[in-house]
Amino acid sequence: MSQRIDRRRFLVGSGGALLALPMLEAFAPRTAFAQTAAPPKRLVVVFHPHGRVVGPGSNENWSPRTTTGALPPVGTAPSPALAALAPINNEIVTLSNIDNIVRHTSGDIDGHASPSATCMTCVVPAGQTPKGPSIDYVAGLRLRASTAQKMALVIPGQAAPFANSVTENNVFLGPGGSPGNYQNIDPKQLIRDLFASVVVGPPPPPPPTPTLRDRLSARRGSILDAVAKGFTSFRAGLGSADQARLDQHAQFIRDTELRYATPPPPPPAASSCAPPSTSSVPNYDWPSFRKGEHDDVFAQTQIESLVQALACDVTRTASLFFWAGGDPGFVTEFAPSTSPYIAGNWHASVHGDGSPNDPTPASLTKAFGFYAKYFTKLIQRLAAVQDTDGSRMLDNTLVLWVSDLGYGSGHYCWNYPVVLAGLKSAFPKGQGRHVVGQVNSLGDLYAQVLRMLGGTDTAFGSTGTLSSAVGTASFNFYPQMGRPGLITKDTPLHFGALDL
Amino acid sequence: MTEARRLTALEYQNSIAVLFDGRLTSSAQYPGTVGKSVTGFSTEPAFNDIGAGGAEQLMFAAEDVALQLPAALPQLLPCAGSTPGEPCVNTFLDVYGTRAYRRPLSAAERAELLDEYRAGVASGASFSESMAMVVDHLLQMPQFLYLAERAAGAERALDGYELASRLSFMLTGAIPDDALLAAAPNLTDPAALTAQATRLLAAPRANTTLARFFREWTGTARLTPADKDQTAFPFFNAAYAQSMNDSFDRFVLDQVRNQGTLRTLLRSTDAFVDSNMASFFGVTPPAAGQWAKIALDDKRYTGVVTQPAMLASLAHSSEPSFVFRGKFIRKQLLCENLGMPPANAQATFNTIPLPPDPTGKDISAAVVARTECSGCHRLLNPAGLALEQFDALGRWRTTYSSGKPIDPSGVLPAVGSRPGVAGHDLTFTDQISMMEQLAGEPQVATCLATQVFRFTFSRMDTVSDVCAIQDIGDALRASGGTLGSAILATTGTDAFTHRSDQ
Repeated sequence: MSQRIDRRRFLVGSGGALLALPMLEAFAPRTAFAQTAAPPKRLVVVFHPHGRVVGPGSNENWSPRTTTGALPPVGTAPSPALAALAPINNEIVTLSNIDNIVRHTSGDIDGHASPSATCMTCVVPAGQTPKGPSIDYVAGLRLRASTAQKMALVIPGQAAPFANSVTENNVFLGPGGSPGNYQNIDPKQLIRDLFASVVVGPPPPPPPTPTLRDRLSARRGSILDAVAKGFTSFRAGLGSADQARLDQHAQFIRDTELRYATPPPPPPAASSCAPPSTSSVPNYDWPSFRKGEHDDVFAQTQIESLVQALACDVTRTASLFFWAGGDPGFVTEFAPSTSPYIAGNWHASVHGDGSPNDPTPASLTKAFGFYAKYFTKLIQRLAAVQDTDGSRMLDNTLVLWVSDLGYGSGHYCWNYPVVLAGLKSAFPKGQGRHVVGQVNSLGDLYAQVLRMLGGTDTAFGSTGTLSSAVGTASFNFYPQMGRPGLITKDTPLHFGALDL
Repeated sequence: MTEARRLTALEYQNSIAVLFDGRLTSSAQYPGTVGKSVTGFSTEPAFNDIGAGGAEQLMFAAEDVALQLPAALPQLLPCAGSTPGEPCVNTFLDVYGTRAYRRPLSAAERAELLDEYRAGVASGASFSESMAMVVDHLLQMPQFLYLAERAAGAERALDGYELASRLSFMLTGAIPDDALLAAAPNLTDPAALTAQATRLLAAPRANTTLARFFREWTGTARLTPADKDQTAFPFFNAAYAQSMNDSFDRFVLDQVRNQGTLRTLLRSTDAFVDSNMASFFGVTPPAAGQWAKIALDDKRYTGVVTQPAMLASLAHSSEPSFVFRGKFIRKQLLCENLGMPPANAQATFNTIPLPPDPTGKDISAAVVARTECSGCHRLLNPAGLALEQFDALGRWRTTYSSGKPIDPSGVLPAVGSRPGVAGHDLTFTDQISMMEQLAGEPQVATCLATQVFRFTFSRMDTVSDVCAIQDIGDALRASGGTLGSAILATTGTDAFTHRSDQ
């Protein structure tokens, strides 16, 4: 059964209002209000690895300013690492002094695993294992209009495949630290997965003879229901640990089933819903993409799929995930055949290992510029899409750009590079600013994000102090991994609101 | 206790082939692994848990397979062409349902799948399309997707079908074949179990699983050209990488299949060469497209640790790594628990002054001189430095690029140490003498037995597993004890034939 979008049945209202309605009533046809309806709020998270650009011998080159104040005018680079943001200076707020405090409860025994497990969850991990949902998932639960919408999509931003490491799989997370909703890395498959059931315009006549694929698709809800019941009966004879494992799987089946078993979900929120065509997307030709030889095309394609997933109301929470697996080559950022990261090891260069292939700090900055470039393209694309009330979709979409580390060179978890954009109404002091406030935690930042989206949260993730969060005073940590002088066992996990 | 676990992508692929006689193929949409394996083996339960999108991926994968069914149905189910209908569906379930669930279906399970067929027919689907819906359903069921056993309480003997599943996945990475299913009711008889284990181990289908054991134990990746610096190794193209991968697999399979022992695994000079690997070693190539077993220089090469694929895997893209290689010796060959490096290890290393054109030993000495580094690196580094005469691709060399000579001698400290036992030092002149001494270390045999145990049961061992590991180790240490006999010994342990949930 296809998910039909009929603009004449455009349904107005926030996710919360919809969820408060009885299910059938919530999906009942309503009067068309396209171009006049209040648009929903949405969240986009952009993630890149390794924090600020600090390579061997280089100085801090990320922060636009050392004090709170206006960013330079549009067209002027705010900083070397953020030079590509120059066209959107008036759309963004850059932040300094955001720390990952919770990370230190892990004992700082590792370089990337515990920062990854905490940077989006702010929940005390079990060693390297994340134990809480990430901010996109929490926000996604609140923002979605119904369970028929996809939840907290995580869309790959670069073409190298995951290495299935703790640093890649443990960033975007679901309940209890379960894996997030990572999407297929093949751009064509991503489009099929996101938009297969989206049809814009009048319903086409039914095919005269359904194909087997049609028939299997039509049975999805029923088969998933039967499979979920099968899990229930199968678990009966198992031990408790095995039951818990199967119960989690069954819950994922039920979540999936809802998308296929319920009546058609609400129609697209934005009037510019235009699902991308797979024919305009290049084939995912692994392994020739391994070092990012076509990351410019790839990132642009993925951004379009992300933006259209929002515009077509497939989801209201989506993330663009740049990761470190396979040591990206940033080929597109350099003249042909000159990227030092094809032969070299980007990860090692960030850490300044001094290997024979170690590029210069300037090369690192140039490579990191990839992220800023595509962040800008994302913002510009969101601004170009017209929302349900005729406004820019960007004005109803909060964009949060974060990383796993503050300073990647030494796995330091202080002074995270953070950029906010979109949802102008949530910034009382306006945009086009750099904010250097008191020290805040990522938990403070995410609580504020939830407030900007309509919540009343004062904290996110674990609360209390480092000691109380762990539940024992006997843990060890390396104070030098955090902000010098700040980290003790009594350091709180939250400090208060940010100066936005 | 053996936890329930989802089939790995490789096991799913293998199982689809066995289930449908090789007429249907697996789907790339089957979800992969998540997180990090503690044992290093890919079958760990938590490593294979699905995420939020996993249920949908499993559904897509099942559909991909089901879509192929109508074309193959005449061969898979002859009655589909002559007498389609519910008796024919039952015939299908007798064969393919039993294979998928690894035991005869219960009445409720049969009725559930029959209902799927009836729903298909009721929707106007043809017989073959309705059977595709049954397959779609079947492949998403936990009985197929999970290796799960009934809870045992204190302890119980596994039944024959449970033993058949354990045996089949351990040795072939797939559901049982028909011969094993037919023998399942009698597998509680140790002789019958051994007979089936021996049959499966000898089957070519076991090759993939056996190679996986050695690859995952040694950390030997499936190399691609992107793993290596193309400036340093411009000849290392896809075909060359494939040759290196195949050469490794052929070596370890030869060890298992031709009476290899722990000693030969560590000391053999055998290597397998095609034209690429012959060029690599500088020997006469076999005929085009052929492989040959050759004996390498016994002053240079010693067993699995000097196989090029392993040396290249335990290396950086352009330089070897004595840390990676040493870590294999201490953690994987001696089973020592070294813990995790501190978060600031790399940052600390960056501050350590080094002399111009440092040798491996210069770097190691500088690192070990730092008290915060010496705890682990004094143990790791000497073992890795013994293999320093092999470059990042596993090629023999005697000098660094600076022209300085490589000294592979050293002392491996505190071998066999554990709480209350100091251990002893091994002094060696090169990799040959190091491996010669390690091959005789009792701890190495115990460690390999431990690795076989972890591989078999997809978990770390506990104190209650001592007897099982002892049995496997005894098979390895026995006079003439072969690697194959150790694998077979695993299937005779109480840990294999029984289950306890306490």
